Amino acid sequence: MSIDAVERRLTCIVCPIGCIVTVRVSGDRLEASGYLCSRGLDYARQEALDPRRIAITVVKVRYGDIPVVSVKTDRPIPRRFVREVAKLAAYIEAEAPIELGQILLEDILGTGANLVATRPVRRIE
Amino acid sequence: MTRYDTIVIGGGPAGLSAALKLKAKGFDSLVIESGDRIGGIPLQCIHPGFGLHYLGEDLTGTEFIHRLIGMVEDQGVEYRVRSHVVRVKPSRTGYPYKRIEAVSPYGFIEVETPILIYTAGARERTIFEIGVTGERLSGVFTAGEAQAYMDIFGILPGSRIVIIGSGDVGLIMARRFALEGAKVEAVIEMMPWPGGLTRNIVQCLLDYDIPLLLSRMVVRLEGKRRVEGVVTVRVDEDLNPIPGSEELIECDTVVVSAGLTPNVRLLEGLGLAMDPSTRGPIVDDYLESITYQGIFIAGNALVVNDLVDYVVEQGESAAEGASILLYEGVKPRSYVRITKGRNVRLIVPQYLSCEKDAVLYMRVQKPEYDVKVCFEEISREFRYPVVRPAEMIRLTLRRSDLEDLRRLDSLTVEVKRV
Repeated sequence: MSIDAVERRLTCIVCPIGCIVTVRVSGDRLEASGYLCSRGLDYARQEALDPRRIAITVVKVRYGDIPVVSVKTDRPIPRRFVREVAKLAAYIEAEAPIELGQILLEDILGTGANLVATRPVRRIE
Repeated sequence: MTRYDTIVIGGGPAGLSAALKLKAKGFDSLVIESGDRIGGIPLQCIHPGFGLHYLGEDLTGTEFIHRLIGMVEDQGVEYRVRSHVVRVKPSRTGYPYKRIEAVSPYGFIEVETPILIYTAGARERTIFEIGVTGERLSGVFTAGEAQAYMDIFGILPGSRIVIIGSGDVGLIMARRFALEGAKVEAVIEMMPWPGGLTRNIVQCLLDYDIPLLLSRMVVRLEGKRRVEGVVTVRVDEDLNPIPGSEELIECDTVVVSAGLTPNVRLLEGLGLAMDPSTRGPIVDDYLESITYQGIFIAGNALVVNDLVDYVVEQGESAAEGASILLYEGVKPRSYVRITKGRNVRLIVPQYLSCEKDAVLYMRVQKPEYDVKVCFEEISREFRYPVVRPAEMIRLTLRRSDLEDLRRLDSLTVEVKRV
């Protein structure tokens, strides 16, 4: 007996049309319907099998001209890790000065993505 | 009296891109910014989605604006921060000079210029503008205030959040609250469709299981000192409340995301003609005021935009118009007025000179599928599989299309079903 197929409805975000794509995943097989172009199918496949996002949050800064620095993962990470990244970021502290794009944490949670600063912070003693 | 070729009021993306473009053309300008630093709104926008068109990269607001600030520093564009313009008036030295007066910690600033580029952005609508009654409780913020609290100052304003309005800033803040450990009880939207982009509905609400309540409005805040809940009511198709449909949603924080409105007080003082649908000034395709020579308006002060790329494009377009005026002086011009037809809520610019390609930005009144945007007099049409009020439509009319139009005085734009 095969495992019951899981059916999901996704809203495609590739273009403003916003097709509602119905996706059925059973094992490693995927069926999709409701999309108008091949980009919709690609989106649905990615979103159903391995949804990814860029995680954004803030990290505390010592001696900064502002108390937190905004950060992001430098590439999309699996969606289930996004909340974990935000939680982890709450426990780390960086020290000013910080440059735009500076890596604050490498290979975060084993995703291969680095946590980088998205804003420069000046040092104030 | 110090004189500049141009003065730019507002050091956000529109003003900075205008000043950079003017510098490249060899004109000097002074950017006057009221905030502590140049950069404007993107300074507090830590989410991605900025600069896809202008820089060809998907950046966060903070990354985007620091690129732009880097260019401003490299090019030596002159600017003053913490300087608040209090008055713009015709100069005593006479036409075409305008005198700009600003207060700042460094003293009173008085400068003169023949050309003003006004890029003071938009302000958020507040709880007092959306028909909500009740006490003046603490715990009520605009979305931008909540954003500054969390992403610049690192403070979480509350733990159980209700967001009024489903505009993009509200949706983005819903995700930020959810990620930082607050619970978003609901996003409440009066219209039957969401106010924000589809991308944000999916990635900010659906990803975090945040309920979006459509056709519902908040009528009252409940609470003693701090807000303790909001009373909502369902509305019918004409947005009238349905009696008996009141519901209380408990929360400790209310975030108002009821859209933006252009900051035009200084311009109103000068008597510039305003468009009630954009709530910004009426301009031609150089983005120059139709009623006040030498004042150009760009960015959210002109019309509330969805994308920073459009804001930058308008800044550059205003600078282009300003440089033509500086090179060639005043020329008599005849205009063609754009008339709004079916399902067109707003369009900018409102007048065309027909001397050049014209970039138009428009919004529809209601969502529609399979439509074309038609300009009947010049037989041009643009097909769209879908149009939505949340997504600004940008289109270009070629100079060659517009040439025949000069004999007429009006051009009609309308959305038709295919």
